[in-house]
Amino acid sequence: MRERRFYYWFMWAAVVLLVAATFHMFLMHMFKTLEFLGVQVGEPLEWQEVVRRAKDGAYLTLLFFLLTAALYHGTYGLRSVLIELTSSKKAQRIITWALAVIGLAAYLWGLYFLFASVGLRG
Amino acid sequence: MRRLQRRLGIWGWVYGGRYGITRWAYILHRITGLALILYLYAHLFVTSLRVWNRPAWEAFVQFSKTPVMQALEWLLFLAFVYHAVNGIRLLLTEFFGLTIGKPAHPKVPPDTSVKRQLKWNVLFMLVLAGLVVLSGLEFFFWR
Repeated sequence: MRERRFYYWFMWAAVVLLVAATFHMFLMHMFKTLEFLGVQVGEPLEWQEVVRRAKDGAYLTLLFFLLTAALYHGTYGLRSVLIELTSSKKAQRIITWALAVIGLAAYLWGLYFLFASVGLRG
Repeated sequence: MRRLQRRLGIWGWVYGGRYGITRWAYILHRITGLALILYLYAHLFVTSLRVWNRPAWEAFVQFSKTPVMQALEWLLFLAFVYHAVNGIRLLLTEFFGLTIGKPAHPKVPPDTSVKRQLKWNVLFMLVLAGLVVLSGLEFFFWR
């Protein structure tokens, strides 16, 4: 029952990711294509542009959802791949808990720096 | 018994065997997923540098503009594109039953769901190919 709930979250995280990650990947990696289509986004790794994005509420919200969904979806996916390697319930439990701790630590790290970057100065 | 259950090990992850195109799509989905999650953890660390070590972040940005890093960035983008497009196909198939057609009486030769999905798979591959070409132009010609 619990496993089924985790799986549903995994799939819903995929739906969130399809929107959030697509926006992020195109803004960061396909900016010339966007410019060609009439969307001016600027050079994404210029410091001024980084500072501007860090203070943009809409982009922060997008990154919050992206961070949450990507870490859950990815870490759950990694767990699914790893637990197939063993039939030992104990080893599977260790993998699950280890990845839960690593994923949560990464999430807190990401959240902290996401909101700390609001204070960046240009 | 335990040994039998896991006899394929890592080979079981990557063996397409006689399962056809959807099995190979699954293997590639898994490989790209692993690449993306490993990248995500590294990406979290690198982007946090701009807050606590700006010189290190700027040095990394310069390094990321080298041709090798550009090529790796393109590979990452391709991994994302493949994982997303194939993920849409999986969502449509597994959650909504789309692309596999309605249940029908058996006939000879058998009309398998894999065969029914073929035109959809071709469509997804065309979308994928379009994005590969577009991103190739972006990464290697327009920048």
